[in-house]
Amino acid sequence: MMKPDRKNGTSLYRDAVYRLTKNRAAVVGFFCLIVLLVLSALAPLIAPYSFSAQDLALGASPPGPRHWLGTDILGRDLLTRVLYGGQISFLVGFSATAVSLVIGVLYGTVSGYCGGKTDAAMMRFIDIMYAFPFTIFVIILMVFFGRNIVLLFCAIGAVEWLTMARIIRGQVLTLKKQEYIEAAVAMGLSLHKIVLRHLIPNVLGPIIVYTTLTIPQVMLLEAFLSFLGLGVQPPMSSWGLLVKEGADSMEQYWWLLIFPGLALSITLFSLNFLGDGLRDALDPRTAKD
Amino acid sequence: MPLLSVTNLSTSFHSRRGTVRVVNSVGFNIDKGETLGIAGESGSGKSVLCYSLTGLVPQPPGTIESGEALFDGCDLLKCTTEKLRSIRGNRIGMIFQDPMTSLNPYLSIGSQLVEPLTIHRGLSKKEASARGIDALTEVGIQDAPRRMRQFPHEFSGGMRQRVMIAMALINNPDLVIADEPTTALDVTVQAQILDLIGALQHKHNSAVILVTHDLGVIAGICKRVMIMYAGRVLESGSAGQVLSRPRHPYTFALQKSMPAFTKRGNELYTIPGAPPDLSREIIGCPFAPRCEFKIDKCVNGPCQLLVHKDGHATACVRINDGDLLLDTKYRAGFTE
Amino acid sequence: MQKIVLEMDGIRTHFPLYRGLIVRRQRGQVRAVDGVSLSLAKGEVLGLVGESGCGKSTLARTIIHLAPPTAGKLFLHGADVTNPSPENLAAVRSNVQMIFQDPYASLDPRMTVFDIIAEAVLIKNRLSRKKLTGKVVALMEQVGLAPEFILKYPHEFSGGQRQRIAIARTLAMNPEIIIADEPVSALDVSIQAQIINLMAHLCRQRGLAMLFISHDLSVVKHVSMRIAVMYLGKIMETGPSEDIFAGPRHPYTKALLSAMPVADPEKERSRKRIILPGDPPSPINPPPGCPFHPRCPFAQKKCASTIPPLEPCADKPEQSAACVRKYDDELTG
Repeated sequence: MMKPDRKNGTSLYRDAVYRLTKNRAAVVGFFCLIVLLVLSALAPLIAPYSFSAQDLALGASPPGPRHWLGTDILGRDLLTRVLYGGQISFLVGFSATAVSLVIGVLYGTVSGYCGGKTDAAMMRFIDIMYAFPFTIFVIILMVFFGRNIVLLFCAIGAVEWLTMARIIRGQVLTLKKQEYIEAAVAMGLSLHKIVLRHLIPNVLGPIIVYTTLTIPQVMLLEAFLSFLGLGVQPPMSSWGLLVKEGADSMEQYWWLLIFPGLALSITLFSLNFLGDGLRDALDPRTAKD
Repeated sequence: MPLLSVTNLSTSFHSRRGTVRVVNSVGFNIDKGETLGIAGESGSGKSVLCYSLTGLVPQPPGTIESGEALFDGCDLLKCTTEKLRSIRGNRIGMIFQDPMTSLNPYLSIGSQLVEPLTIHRGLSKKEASARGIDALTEVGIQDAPRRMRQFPHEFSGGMRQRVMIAMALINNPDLVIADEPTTALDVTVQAQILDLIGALQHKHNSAVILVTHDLGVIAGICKRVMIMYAGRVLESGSAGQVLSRPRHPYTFALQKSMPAFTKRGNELYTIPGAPPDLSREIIGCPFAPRCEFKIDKCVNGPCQLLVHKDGHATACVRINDGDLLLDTKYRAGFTE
Repeated sequence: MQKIVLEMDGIRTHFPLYRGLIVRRQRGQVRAVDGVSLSLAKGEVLGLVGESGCGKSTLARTIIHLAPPTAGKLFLHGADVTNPSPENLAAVRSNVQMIFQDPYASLDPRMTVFDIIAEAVLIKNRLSRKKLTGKVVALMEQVGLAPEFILKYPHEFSGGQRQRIAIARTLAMNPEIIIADEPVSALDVSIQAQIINLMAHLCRQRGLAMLFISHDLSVVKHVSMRIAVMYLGKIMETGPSEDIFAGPRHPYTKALLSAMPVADPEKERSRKRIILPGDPPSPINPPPGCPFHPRCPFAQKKCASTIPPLEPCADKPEQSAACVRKYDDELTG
């Protein structure tokens, strides 16, 4: 039987935290994510070398006591590069997803809730945006505003919100017909309260699942853009870019692929477990008592 | 020899929270051409009972713990899946509750209707379609040849239930199991469908098991009635016996709580509490905690269905021991 | 005569049907509610009976401003509230509250009982957390819910208890009028009785007016003082409950009464049943003349051409019927 602190009252979110802590996979995922985040954030302090320090004489060397994860072709320490790369990847992953989340959820909710002509117009706009080639869109942005990492987040976020908006709209359309939403309208609840208190909590499940899918997607998109020379500039790097470079030379230097890949996979797994845990935790009906 | 003879049937569902005994030692007989009404509230096990008989209980999580259901010499609970499949839809027809979801929206009415014919009788498409048209006409659907080509969404709820009835009856089954066939329908359409079931049963001399929560529906067309509660049979007998002179406090209380039996403005009689949790073992009478006549032996003593001389059976210990008589005077307040 | 609190005058609620994806043309309309005039007095329970699709739920939604009327007027305490301004709408809404049919759908699954009831309380007045809790507990006690359930979620309750939560939420708004749309049809008989008693008790205690919508005649008969019978968006017959049940003047009412199952085999066998042919027609293409004439066992030629007005019967001014043959012995006898 679940027994959160019932004396001081409870809310969906407080219950959710309680339920989340009972989900072992989610807790482990959360923990791994925090460790990776902290390590990346503290990269300048804990990294053994400078991320751009080359040791051409050393070249690509396998993992050893001096370079724990080995070095790349230019003799740069891989551990340092993975730590610094994490900064970029997390930054892009979280901020671009946050941008897409905010725009997508609001746009989708409003579109679905208002319905009728507003909905039709808003959805046609999304269709047009979908048809727009992503690469060209980013190139145009770069040409106008110059290369800028913040702009990169915006560009990716501006593309990713489309799918989010569509998913949310579909959910809201079915939710809108639920009697409890009608009851809220009939009580005279204001629009923003209905959206914030009833609609969004009830679409949290799909939002969370889609968010955990978007973060890795965004990380890989960033790698693609960086590969085209539109993203992160060398000697700076990101996990996506490291994986890409590693993949090119994996036959000779396996460690160049394995370690960045491992960092990326652990992050993705953790996100997925955490996402699943959150989805279940936020739905009182799945409570395991 | 009865057409179907069920003895000691128990069905359980296993879940993380334990074993739920949904049907608990149920037994009954039904003769050819007879109509048996099984009444009970939601969770009384009446639907699971029917599913158990037709092998439609999902296993797992369900298991048929014990029992025997002899249908024309064949035990429905133990025979092979193939054998059961050859009986289902052929010698036993089924009508489900929701006509909106029990037809496949992507197949035409005709192709769904004649499916039992092509499967069990091996008829050619042409013969089957001719029989299908006859069957639709029989259930009162006009312009049957055209209707055969239409799809479920072009039919109203009442019409779909007619199609379901035609489908259940198309192989002239010996037994029809109707699970809440009119619950999803309006009163005037319900009257049509009950009328139709009665007429067709008479014509084909099929036995009908009618499962419902509405005692009124049972009073209309059933000869015999069985009242279920918490997976057990609490009372059974002829419709007149059970509904007019109930011998179990549960039936009695159910009737008293119906608005038709109370004058307007007066409080309705209410049964306190809620049905028991079936995942716990129930000693004694399952209705005892909510019963206004309960005494110690109801809660602690055994509780068995006992058939009286007039064929009216009840599981109430007090009535069986002769120390309780139910006063049916409340019916005087009943006004047409 | 009690004070009239709610009055509907010729309410029509039509929904347009469109065709075409880009250029949308109106192709027709669903005449869900087609000219309904009814009134509700203080403390009165008016039963609204009809089959599914007859427009009774749309009428309820029109009254609480969830579906705006196409024509007609709606009066609350004599004031026109057909198209209220946003400020008025809030006042109107807190005065007229609705109880929905399905207690499984009308409560937000992600809110606790406390949140659900408190939300309604807070619409009318801002309260401190402590006072709010007190008020919520008081409301729960009024509807017979133990206060220890306050932090449970709707899915942890049975159907009857959920309907109690919905009733508590309604009462939190302190309305004068309650629209109950099939409040007990999703419940078992034994639970039904509890909820009916509760609603009747609350209406008496608080002097609430209630529009009780149901397809179950025996329930309507038990709770209502007056009854209105609806068919295809129109009122067919209205009058005091006893009179309608004792002597219906409209063939549709007669058929409804005879189709109502009675849990008494002896009575059930002896009584004469009117089995109506076919299904109710579609409200997109209602038949000309009396909407009921294609299924009516008493229909005459003129029924197909004239729409009979809903007028009081000369011998029974309390009872009105919209039938050309309402004085006919064949029908009334």
